[in-house]
Amino acid sequence: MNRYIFHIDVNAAYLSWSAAYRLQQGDAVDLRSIPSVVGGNEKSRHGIVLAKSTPAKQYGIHTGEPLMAARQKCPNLMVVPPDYNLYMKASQAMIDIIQRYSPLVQQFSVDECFVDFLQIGSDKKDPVLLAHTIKDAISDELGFTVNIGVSHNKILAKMASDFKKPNLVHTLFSHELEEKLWPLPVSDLFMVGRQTSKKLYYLGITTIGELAKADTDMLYGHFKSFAHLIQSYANGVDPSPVRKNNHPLVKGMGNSTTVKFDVLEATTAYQVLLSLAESVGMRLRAAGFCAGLIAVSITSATFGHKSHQYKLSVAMNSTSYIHQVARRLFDELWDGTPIRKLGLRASDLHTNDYVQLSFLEDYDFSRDRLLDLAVDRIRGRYGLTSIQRASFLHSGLKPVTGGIGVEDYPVMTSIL
Amino acid sequence: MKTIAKPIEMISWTEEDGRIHPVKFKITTHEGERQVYRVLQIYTTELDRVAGNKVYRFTCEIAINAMIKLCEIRYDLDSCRWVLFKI
Repeated sequence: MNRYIFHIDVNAAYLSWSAAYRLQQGDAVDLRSIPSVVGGNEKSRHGIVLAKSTPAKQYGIHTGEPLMAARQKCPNLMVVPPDYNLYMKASQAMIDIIQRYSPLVQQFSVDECFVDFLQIGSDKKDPVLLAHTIKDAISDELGFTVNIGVSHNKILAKMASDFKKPNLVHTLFSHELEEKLWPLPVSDLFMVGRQTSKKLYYLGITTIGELAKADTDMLYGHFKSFAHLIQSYANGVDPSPVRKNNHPLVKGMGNSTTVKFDVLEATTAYQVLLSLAESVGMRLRAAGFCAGLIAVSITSATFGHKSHQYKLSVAMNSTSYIHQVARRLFDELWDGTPIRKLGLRASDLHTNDYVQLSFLEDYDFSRDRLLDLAVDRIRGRYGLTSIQRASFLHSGLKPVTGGIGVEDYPVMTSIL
Repeated sequence: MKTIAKPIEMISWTEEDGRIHPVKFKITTHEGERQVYRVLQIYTTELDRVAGNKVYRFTCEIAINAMIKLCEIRYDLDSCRWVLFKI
């Protein structure tokens, strides 16, 4: 019995998908062959580069930088808006193709997935050959290219698909670690972000190999249990299985939004928090959870960030109650500086089969529960905007915010 | 054939099993004139799934000023729009 794990990653996903779609619709130019980016709407202050073409990369344009800065680097830059519905379709079409080869596919985000190939008996195929077959099928039928990493577990497959792009297959098995993975900078490792790599540099660890061989106790002293995770990843150890369902370990649910204008008054901020509470509350109830902890975060117009949280005496999922707590947290947190972005998060999740009541709360949850249930049902049937609170009328704010505006859109996650 | 990708009005016929056949279409020229063409023969029908967007491509024959011409007509399944793609 042989088991192989593939990690399939779309090259410059948003840009490739928009480019392929435009060609299909009769556009003469391929966005991938000119300096181009997929960017958000600048008027609503979501104007950052979401994806870039290879020619745009040569101008030094980075994903995540403001469109304004990108235009300065390349004046004739072509900017196209994102089309999340198209991206969902492209992603699903890719998974449909992959499922011809294996039933066990885990969609890890909109543009990447893990595939488990279990070979039993004498019918053993070369995994690299199989990866090439899949890669070519995707580019022939769907008009975009992917990178495929082949290994025995998820972390190594993921690292392998990131080696050299585009349209390539790489292997990274345990015996290849020293040669292929360990010389890479430590910041390339999955889960090692900007902050962690900075701390590792101070400890004299610059490559993945140095992290793999570093003293575990010393790392534990600096990173606590996170040290075990990154060190086992550096050693190519990851026991996590390829899962059909990508959401087994929800620890919390949160939404945040960048407001179109700087928020200067508490009443406006309350409104934004209410629209966030609507989406967080709905998500909690849809998943059958109650939350025991509510946190509010504020990003100021100068990009300062702070947050504050409160442990509830009873776990609950009522939209109004979440909003009430959020307002209290906001009042304690806010010092009057203009606000750019607000976030609301519910964690310490419990299932809502039984709900603990409290003598200390005078809040009437039973009425709220009925109201939330009715609102959820109406929205489920007629859409998110079918019913809304009157306070949002003429406010210029959306009655429900958070997410990308496309339901069930698979976003990035840090859990393999 | 040259790509023109021009939206058209179409009368089509759909079989019981879902197979679609373009029958005749109306196109508005640059001068604002509306002309009707009949699809004389369909040579190939292909399902294009580029970027996951499903589009039927029909290679067919039409008559323009008594001249038989080959063209490609496309039908976008999601937007239900017909396009004279190439002629």
